[in-house]
Amino acid sequence: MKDRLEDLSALADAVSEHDVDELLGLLSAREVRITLAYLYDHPNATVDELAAAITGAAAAESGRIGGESEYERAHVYLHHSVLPRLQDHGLIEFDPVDGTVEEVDVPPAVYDFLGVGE
Amino acid sequence: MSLETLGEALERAEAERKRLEVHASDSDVAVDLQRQFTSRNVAVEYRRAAAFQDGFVVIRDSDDEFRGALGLEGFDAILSPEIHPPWTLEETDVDLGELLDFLEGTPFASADRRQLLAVSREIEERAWRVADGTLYAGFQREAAFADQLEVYERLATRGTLSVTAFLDDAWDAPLEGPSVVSASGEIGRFWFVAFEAADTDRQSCALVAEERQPGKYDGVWTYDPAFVGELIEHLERSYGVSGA
Repeated sequence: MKDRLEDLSALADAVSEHDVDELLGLLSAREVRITLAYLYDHPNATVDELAAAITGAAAAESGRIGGESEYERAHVYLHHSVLPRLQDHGLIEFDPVDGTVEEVDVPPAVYDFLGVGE
Repeated sequence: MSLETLGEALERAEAERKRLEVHASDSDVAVDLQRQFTSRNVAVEYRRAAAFQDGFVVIRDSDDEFRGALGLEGFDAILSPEIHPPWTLEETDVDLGELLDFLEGTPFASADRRQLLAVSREIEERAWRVADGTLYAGFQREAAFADQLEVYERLATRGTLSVTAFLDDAWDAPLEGPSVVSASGEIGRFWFVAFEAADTDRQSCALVAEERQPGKYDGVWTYDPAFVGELIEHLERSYGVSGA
């Protein structure tokens, strides 16, 4: 595993100082990390796909089955929190009407920080 | 729409095509699953998930609606009883009842007798708990019924359950409780168990499987009350029996 401190300073370099605390706060939510991890492989995705990925990743971690209620919860959380916040940071484009999500500008330092794409 | 044969019941269930999305870092696991699902009515699709530590599967129905998700490890445990026999599942966190529910309505292929017995037990136990309604079970051979005789005699004494066994052979031994219908044809090819409660269709469940190779069954089990109702109606109409 890469040195997290090194990643952190890379992250700080990649975004403005003003944003780094907020970005770290954002990345502390696992739904946000899963969303970005999914967009890494699928830069054009839908809220449905992301909700399925969040439910699936949680199921894989817990060894239990992710059902429709977990999926619905992930859907709501994406709509009202994860995606608007990622959009505010300019990392994605989110169309709440069509339910489409596009990765527009996730700095490689964010992916490095998440341990993705190494 | 009424059912004319058990084969038609199975065909109808098989027409409900599900989709299995396999999210994993490489496609090998999806290729393996595709092989396992070739004779099931499930379209397997690989979705790259290089950024995820553990792979998972997502099941969608024929309308593309999300039905459930499960880690690849847990999924393997259901699909490979030879690798993970059911008794090892007890040592994991995976709940067998939940797993059975998860695959409900998904046609399966090449199940063996032990797997079908596990599903049959679920249905029989439900009938026992409800203690009222109609339980129909098909036995391809006299010996198979003889093996389960004690279970079915007990079921027939439970509450106001009406229990009927369908047999491909003649049955002469005296019986305490269950009725026996001897018939030839489809009864000899299918393994089926169907339960419908007397006052509610929320307890309905059925298993229908055809022995397409010796000892290997393709089939479906379901909690769909309409499907179970039609199955029961077919059995009653074709074999002149009546339930509870």
